[in-house]
Amino acid sequence: MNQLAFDCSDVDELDAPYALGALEPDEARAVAAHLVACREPHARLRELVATASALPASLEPIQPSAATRSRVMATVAATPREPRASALAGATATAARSVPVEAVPERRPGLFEWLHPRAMSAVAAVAVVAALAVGAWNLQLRSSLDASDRQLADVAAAVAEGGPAYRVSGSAGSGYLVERADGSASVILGSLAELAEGERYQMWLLNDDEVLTAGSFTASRDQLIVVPLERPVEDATTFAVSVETAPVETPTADPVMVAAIGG
Amino acid sequence: MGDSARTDPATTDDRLVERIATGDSAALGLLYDRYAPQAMAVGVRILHDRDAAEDLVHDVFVTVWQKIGRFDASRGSIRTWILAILRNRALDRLRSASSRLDSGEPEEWHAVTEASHTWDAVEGRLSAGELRTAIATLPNEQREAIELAYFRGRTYREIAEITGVPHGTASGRLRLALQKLREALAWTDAAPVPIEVDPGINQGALRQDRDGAS
Repeated sequence: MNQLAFDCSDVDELDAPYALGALEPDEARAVAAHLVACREPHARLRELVATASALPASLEPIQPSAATRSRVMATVAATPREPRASALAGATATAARSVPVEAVPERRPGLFEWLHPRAMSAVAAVAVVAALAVGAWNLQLRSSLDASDRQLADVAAAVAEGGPAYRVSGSAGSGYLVERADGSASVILGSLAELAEGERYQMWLLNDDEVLTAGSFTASRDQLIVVPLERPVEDATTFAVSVETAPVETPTADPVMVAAIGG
Repeated sequence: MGDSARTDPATTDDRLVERIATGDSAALGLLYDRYAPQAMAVGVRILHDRDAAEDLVHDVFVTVWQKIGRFDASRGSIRTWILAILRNRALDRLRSASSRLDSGEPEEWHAVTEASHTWDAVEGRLSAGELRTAIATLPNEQREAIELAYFRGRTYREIAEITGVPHGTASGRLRLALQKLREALAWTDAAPVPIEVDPGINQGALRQDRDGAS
């Protein structure tokens, strides 16, 4: 497809739709390309862009529910951040000089106390199927199913039957929690962070009233694992994983992975 | 959130951004308290669905946490960045509902730069009511055009089709509306400041081509 080429009059004619993000993609690109090359100031376009950006101020603020804030903070606690980019330099350059390139979030004690996010929508089953495709690769390479693969096949069957699946993610890795029709559930996880000697991943199911252990496991990097939960999901609103050094009845550390259940 | 929190050196927007970049989730909580209500308003206005808007607000602030390193303070305020992301995602959801592909995520971070510090320019000097009054005084056809473009994500060509006018007329209505708003804001001493436009970073450029190419 040939790219559009605009002159100044074309840009002037379309400046308002450009300011409002109301151009077709090829037109927007042509305007942008013209602005790069043009020596004219196109002052009116700049004024229109500035005015358009003020439009959100016409709306009265609406307070989100307290549950949404809790859900944000819970997800944030278990979500890794991208490495700091140079773009943050500039207005924040001074502070940046004293900040490690990849600062590690501070651990907060008692995180589980407020980890009661509102239930959110289940991820699309197609995403789970994509994750399972990695497992299928293993299945094809092996002549016989080992225990883990049988679990994987079991989970795949649950997904195929329409069982809900929830995205699990955090600083330690990611995967899916899949619930079967009978209420039992398994997690499929991959590329988990290596554990130190003596450490185990401990799974938890949380609702508004309690935190229940759901089993523990170990894993090595580059390993796709399927772990059945030791108890049904039932009324849990959150699945979480912490790293523990001994069997415990309540978590002693912040979650390294989390999933919101329900929706 | 009172003005004192915004002027407290420890909780200015710039400082909160710095703190988030170091992994301070409490700072994200403060930023959320400050801007989630406005983000929620934009989400509800576009989606007309409070639950969906709540989900969107959640997703946007988690993304702010994850990708704060992509925020470029020299190009605009954190508030403008957050609201631009929110608007783009809300419009994506509208388009997805119309069988259009989601425009994905990374590019949206650039869209904010078109807005620069304009909001900062009007902040504190302009109430939502004043701007609503200015919009309300627009001729119906201009107000409708602004609504369709900004809050419904329609292109000027689509607006022309919807309203039964030539493309040039639709584009002209959008221009007249923005110019009248600018004049009205100037009258209230809250005129947006002309900004440096970053070419290639217009939201329209981020739309998916209808054939699926980006």
